[in-house]
Amino acid sequence: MNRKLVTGTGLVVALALFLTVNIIANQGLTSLRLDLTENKLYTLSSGSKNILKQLEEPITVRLYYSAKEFANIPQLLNYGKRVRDMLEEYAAAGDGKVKLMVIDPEPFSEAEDEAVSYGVRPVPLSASGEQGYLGVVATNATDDVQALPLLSPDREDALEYELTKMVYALAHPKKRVIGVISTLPVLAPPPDPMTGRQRAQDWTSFLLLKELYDIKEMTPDTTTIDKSVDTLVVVHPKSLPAATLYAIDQFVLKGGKAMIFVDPLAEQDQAQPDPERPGVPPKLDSDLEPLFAKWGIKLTPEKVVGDPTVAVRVTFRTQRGPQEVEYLPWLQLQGAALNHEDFITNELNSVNIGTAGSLEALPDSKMKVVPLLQTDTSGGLIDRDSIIFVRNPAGLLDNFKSDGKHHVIAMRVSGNAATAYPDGRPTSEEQKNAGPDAEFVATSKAPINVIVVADTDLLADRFWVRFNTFGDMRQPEPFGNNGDFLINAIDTLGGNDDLISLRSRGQYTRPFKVVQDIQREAEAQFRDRQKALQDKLSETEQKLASLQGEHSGKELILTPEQKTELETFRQEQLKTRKELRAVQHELDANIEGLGTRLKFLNTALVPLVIALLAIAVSLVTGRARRGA
Amino acid sequence: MNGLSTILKRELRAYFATPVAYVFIVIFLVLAGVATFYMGGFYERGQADLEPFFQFHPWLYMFLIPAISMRLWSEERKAGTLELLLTLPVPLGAAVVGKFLAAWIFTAVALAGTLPLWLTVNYLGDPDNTVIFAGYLGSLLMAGGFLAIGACISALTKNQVIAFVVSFVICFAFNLSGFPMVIDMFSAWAPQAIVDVISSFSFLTHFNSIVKGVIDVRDVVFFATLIAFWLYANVLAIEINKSN
Repeated sequence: MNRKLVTGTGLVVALALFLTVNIIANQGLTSLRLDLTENKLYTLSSGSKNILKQLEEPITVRLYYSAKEFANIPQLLNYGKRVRDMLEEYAAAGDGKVKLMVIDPEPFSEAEDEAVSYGVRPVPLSASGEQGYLGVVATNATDDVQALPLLSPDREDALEYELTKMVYALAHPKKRVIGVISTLPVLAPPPDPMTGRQRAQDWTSFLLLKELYDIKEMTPDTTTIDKSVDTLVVVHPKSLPAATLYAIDQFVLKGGKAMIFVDPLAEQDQAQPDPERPGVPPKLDSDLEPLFAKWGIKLTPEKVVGDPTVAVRVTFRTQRGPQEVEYLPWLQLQGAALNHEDFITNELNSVNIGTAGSLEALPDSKMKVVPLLQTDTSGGLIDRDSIIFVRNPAGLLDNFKSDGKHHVIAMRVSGNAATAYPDGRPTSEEQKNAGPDAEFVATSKAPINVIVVADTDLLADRFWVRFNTFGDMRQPEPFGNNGDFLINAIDTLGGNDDLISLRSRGQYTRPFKVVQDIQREAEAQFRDRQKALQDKLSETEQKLASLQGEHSGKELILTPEQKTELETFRQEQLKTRKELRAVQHELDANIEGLGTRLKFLNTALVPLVIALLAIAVSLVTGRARRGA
Repeated sequence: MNGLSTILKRELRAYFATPVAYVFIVIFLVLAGVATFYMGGFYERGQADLEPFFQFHPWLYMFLIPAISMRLWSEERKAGTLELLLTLPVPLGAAVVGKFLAAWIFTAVALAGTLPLWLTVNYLGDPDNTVIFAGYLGSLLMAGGFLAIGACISALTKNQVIAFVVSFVICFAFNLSGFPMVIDMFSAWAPQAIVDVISSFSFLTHFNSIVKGVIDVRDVVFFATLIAFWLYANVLAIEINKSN
């Protein structure tokens, strides 16, 4: 009895110990985990974690995921699971500030109505009208809503970025202020005070910016940048006064984000030649040289990038009439020319640029440079003056030589930088009395974040948008992603370094390559056969039609020969159709066959081998036993 | 330690001396294959990973592990060899651990029989092999948990059928405790802390996270303490019987 009591107590103590250890582990060891996945799928980037840690208000994230409806669509089913897993990571990293709700919006349910009211878009699943949902809606304490209405597996590499951006936008619901300094008329001047008429229009790219952000325009001779500005856009900084350069320098070093557009030849610059020296071309180039030097980069002077493989074809008038020819300095950048690991460019199809310059990192610089737009090695540099004076595409092409280098047209620059003005504010006449700058910084407190583009023309309408007119409505119709490039860049600069640090993670899905290969091979093989059969079929049908045509309008009596011929045709037609069906069927047979073989191997063959082994063992041991 | 290895060897030899062990392995492999290919749609989903294979393990083990563990002690009790075993110069703890380890190794052998599936998935595509390795590790850990439960129950009864049924019910409860229907049942009235504790005892939740390729210290702690607790209970169960 006593012993029983002792063992009983022991059991209770052991149970208590088991429970306590696990409860403590569950509460305390939340971050001790090892992510063994190749792409670190379940580890949030430190950028996301920082944003989540800094949340002050709770955020509710609703994942609308029609798991049941997707049961037969593995791609969506699996992707939905991965989205859910990732959101669980957000909830874990959010330290209680992120509340996750996974909702299966069943057809005709309240949840479905709710999803639709948040703008979540249905995925059509079958011709009979079935549909499912895979979207995320997040709300903050003040009921601001951010939604990803339809998550596509193709965009998985950007999932973390999109989710973090959404969380960030909810945590900082105020519209961002974008400062603009431009010597080009990117923003229209105010209406004529006398007539009240608008004299010009904003460039479409800047019209887009106006829709998303608060724009604060500054003159090119401004000496201060408003404290409210978090991102500065500088377009064509041509002959800016030192005081303005100093203001930009200090803005960037103090953590302000900037996007700079410089150009060796700004085609939109309307500067006229000096009447006293008409032979000298006007200054059409811009640079931010003193600042660039400190940021570890430089713009190759007086050279324009050309690339015959991506040059835009233009119609050029020659003596023999109009002729289509590649115009080397106008480039349509696509594919590998766009950085697919950076969220600015990874979703863009093409960016059109005109007479752009070449940017390069200075050899001894410690700054980090990431190319966003760059040419293939087939590109090269062209003398700017030859473009201004020659103006002959064919002539440019004849004289072009590739230098086998990648020429960078747009880049991200980050790292710790020093000021271009170590002595503080440059003293100009009007600022002599202003005294030293109390807020002067000599080096950046945190790494700077700047995007530099060596082309201003890509912002102009003629390079990426045409207009359709409906009545008095003027509808822009983009033919390039130049506007998206600008918006994405401003968006990722985002005022937050954590968001900028997020990068594409690459491969997520791991398809059966063998099956895909069989599929491709079979399709190619059968496409040929199908083509041959179809040709035969149409030939037969034509013959049949012509034979019937001979008799149309005439008497419908056919000779016995014709009848036989008609019958043969019909038979052939039927045979060919049947063969085509067989071709369709055969396409899947190989893949199914492989599946069946693998199923057999794994469910039957291995167990069979083991069963035989068992029989052999029992025979041997039985004989041994009998022998003994 | 000597005693432990003696018991371990004796038990292992006993497993492979009878055709029952092979029958068990064959059943396990057939069921695992059928579940993976037919219920899990391994081939149709076209993804080079072993998720559809591992997702059925908690349910397969629920039937199969009690079948392995039911005879561990009840048979000894029934045949009267338990007394003999206890008179040997082997500490009781070593005997318990030895039997448990033998059963665990046997399970590992059965699991190793599924390696052709690993080869298959490598043939078909380019899987993340570290994740698959983690899956096997998780599966083995979970099997250890089920086995420890089964061994303890087996020590409580002479009747193998009763040992099987009771072990099955307990394993089922451990599986279910993470299920939404169970959680919902408790979350209606119990405080969140209790609901969290209940759901944290589910084999499914701990196993699923390992299968994804994430080794969380909490999951390892859970399985390790669970095995330790049930083995301790196993020792106590035999102690009580001995005193009877």
